[in-house]
Amino acid sequence: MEAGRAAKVQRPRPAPVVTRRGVRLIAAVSILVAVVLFLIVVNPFRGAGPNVGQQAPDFTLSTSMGGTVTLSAFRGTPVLLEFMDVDCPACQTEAGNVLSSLFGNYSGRIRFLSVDVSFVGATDTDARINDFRTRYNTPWEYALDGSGSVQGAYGVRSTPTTFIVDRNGVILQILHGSQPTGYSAYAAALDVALGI
Amino acid sequence: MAREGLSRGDLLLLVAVLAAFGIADSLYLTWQWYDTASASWCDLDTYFSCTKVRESTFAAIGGVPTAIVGVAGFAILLSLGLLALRGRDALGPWPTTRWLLAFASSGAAIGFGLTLVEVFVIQAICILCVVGFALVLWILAVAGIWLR
Repeated sequence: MEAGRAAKVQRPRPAPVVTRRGVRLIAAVSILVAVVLFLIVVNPFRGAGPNVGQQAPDFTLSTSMGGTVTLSAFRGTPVLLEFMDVDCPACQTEAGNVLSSLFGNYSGRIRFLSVDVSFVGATDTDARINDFRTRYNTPWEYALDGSGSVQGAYGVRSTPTTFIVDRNGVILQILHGSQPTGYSAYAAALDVALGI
Repeated sequence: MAREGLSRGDLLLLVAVLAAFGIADSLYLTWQWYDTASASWCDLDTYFSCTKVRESTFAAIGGVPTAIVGVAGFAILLSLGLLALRGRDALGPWPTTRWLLAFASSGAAIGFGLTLVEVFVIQAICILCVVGFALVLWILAVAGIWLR
């Protein structure tokens, strides 16, 4: 009985030897793996997009209701430019809880434009976008960036990402993700754009 | 039998280091799953998209992100590697390296299955998931070929 227990519970024996050569090799492997992970996560080669204070890149896209929309055509009026995806849960929450209320209060003074970048879920179409507009009561213009060219020009890598653009087409603020403070975060940015 | 030029201790340390990277990779994927405010940072295009994989039904089982399985699996591999490195040759009925081989094989099988799902069902590749799969294959190779 004792002998059997002793056979099962083995005492640690002298540790296997780690050689200097092994340590050097493993250090090299570690650096290699760390660099690969860093490049994947940070991806410094990706386009950075414009910053606050820079001109918002102009673009023309087809809208989900037919016709086209050109950002520079909105000059003279501040713009809330949202990059979103109809399948993105955060975009759904933001549209239903925040943006629709904002539109109710600011639509006469601010132009709203959402660009669907089709990041996640099924490939987006005008029909899917229009379903989204109806479901979340967001009646402003939506455009589909099927090629990803506008997304690339703005360096958008997450949805929702919202640019507040002033009357002259200059970016005043960039809001990444859904805002913890909700309505007030957007309202504060729009008030700045309106000079309030 | 250790590979020529590397001791058994070197190979066990290599297993532990690779498993530690696997934990970091899986923890990052787990954090990404819970971070619903924004999309993933590892998207290169619509095919190489961690976001697309994360938003699929395969990213979680019963509300628990699949990446947590990776965290647990790599933690077991790290523990086994460290135990063997400290001289613990056996755990219960099996040598420690056989446990290592068994868990690495299971991890590789799960990783292979999830990679097939990515390619044929989701039709998008999560590069960080592939890195996790590569790490477990590497551990499997070390445990299966050189540490037996």
